[in-house]
Amino acid sequence: MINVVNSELFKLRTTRTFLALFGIALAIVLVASICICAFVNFNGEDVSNEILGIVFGPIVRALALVIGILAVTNEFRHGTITPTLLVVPDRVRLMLSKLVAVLALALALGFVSGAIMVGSSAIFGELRDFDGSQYAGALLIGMTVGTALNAALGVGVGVLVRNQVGAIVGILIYGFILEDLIGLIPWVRDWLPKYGLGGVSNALSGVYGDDADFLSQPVAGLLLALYAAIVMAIGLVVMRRRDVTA
Amino acid sequence: MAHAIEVAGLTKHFGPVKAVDDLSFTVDEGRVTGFLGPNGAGKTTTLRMLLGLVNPTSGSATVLGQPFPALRDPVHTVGAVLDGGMLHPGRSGRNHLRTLAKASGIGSQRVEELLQLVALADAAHRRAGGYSLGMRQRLGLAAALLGDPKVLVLDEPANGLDPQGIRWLRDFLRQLASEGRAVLISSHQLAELGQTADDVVVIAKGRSVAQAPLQDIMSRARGGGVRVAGPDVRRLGDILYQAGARVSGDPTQITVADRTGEEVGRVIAEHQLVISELVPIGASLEDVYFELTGGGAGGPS
Ligand SMILES: Nc1ncnc2c1ncn2[C@@H]1O[C@H](COP(=O)(O)OP(=O)(O)OP(=O)(O)O)[C@@H](O)[C@H]1O
Ligand SMILES: [Mg+2]
Repeated sequence: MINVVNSELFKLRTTRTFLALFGIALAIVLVASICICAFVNFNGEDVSNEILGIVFGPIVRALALVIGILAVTNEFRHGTITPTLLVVPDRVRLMLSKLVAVLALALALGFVSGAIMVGSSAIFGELRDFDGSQYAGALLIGMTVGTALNAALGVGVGVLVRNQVGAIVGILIYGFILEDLIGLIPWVRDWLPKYGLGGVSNALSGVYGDDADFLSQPVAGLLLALYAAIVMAIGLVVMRRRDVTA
Repeated sequence: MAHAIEVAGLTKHFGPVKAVDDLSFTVDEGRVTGFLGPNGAGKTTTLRMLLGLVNPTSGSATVLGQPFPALRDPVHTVGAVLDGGMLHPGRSGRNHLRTLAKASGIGSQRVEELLQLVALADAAHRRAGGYSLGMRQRLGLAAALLGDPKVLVLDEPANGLDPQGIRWLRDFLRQLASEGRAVLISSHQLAELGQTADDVVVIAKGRSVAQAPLQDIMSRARGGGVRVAGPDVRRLGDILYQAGARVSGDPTQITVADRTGEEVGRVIAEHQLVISELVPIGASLEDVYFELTGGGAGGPS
């Protein structure tokens, strides 16, 4: 299993797409964090970490989903799944190894992104005399765990829907448009915005304090982990029965 | 001792299409077995079922007595090249091999060795998206050989290879077989296997139509036979004629329509005759092949 995880990490490192996605994620977070902290006029009640969390949460979340999806669907898109399965015939073991590799990278990405936000906030808060420290711990944990879990969810989606474009477009449209729209329907309005992917991910970012519209951070984390696990489990069942013909 | 490869009653339906239909055959160690059939005959589907990639509708396929996914050490047991490029275009050839080597705990030393063997060492650092078809095939072969496997499964490996490449492959496969390995190689050209295969399995429309040593298949040729020339052919002709063979010709050269070269050779030896020439004649490999697979059928249908 360790060999297979190693191989998966190596696969991720040796394609430009991943390096680019990582670079883009970090660059956006770095540049925009500094700009926001340096130039926005915060008034008395504003907490810079809260604003950063609200702005970047969805962006990093989307990138994490895409990274997870790509890690799986790239193999089907380019047909490398065939040589890979000849070396690792156990599909469940292979996909779990991908999950572990993606989780490791996403944890790192989330932690560094969170550290950049919290760091910029603290430094500029000191210089410009605004509250740059509130929510720092929660934001750092939220970014790290949130990025990892969304990437894991992406892996699950990729296992379930092998088509790369379909998986990416599908999850982004659902997660960022459809879910919000469906959430407007009266009966659904009571729970989807709170328990749906978007609501749970936002709650996980840890900057909403005691707002009753959001779950607490730990509960949100557990729920998102559960969602990712369910999607992965269904994906694995389906994957085992599938014919690999390309 | 289990056969290197054993396919039994293997069947695969893709919806209404019977891609493979109750196919059975075996492949033994130390032999190169050709797996022949026209386009769409079901070769690739069979090989993919053998390798656990496609789930059979019914029947079974085993390697050294076990289904491929159940093998304890798949990389060192079976190596395979399946049709198509199957490379990530952005990854270099060397890194492609390394991803596979790492997954099975094989060192990069072996990767370099194989890049040398398939003559890709110079191109190995380039992105695989720019590789030619032949280069992809070579890289695929290198991947198949990573674990120095006992059984090799190759789906149309000659596709895209130049004549030197084909000759090299032929010699290489013969060498692997002589080392006691089992080689199963698919092709849609009988002639291509002429100098490579010991046995052939011919399929058409998913069903087995012939399984025999290659020599037998060739001597089954429609209108085949042998031509013999030399001082004693007249006597030879008489002897064969009396034994019921179809003989024609003149005092210097005869044609025996329904005997193999070996059979005629035995008669010559037994009667201590002198001849100067003994040539198998008759249908070309292509003709034999068309006859077996049902005329010109196949191709775009
Ligand atoms: N994934 C699939 N879905 C539906 N039909 C398929 C699929 N794969 C193969 N087939 C059908 O199964 C039959 C056998 O195909 P297969 O690829 O095994 O033939 P082949 O002998 O390898 O042909 P070729 O010489 O062209 O490579 C064909 O009729 C093909 O259309
Ligand atoms: Mg084929």
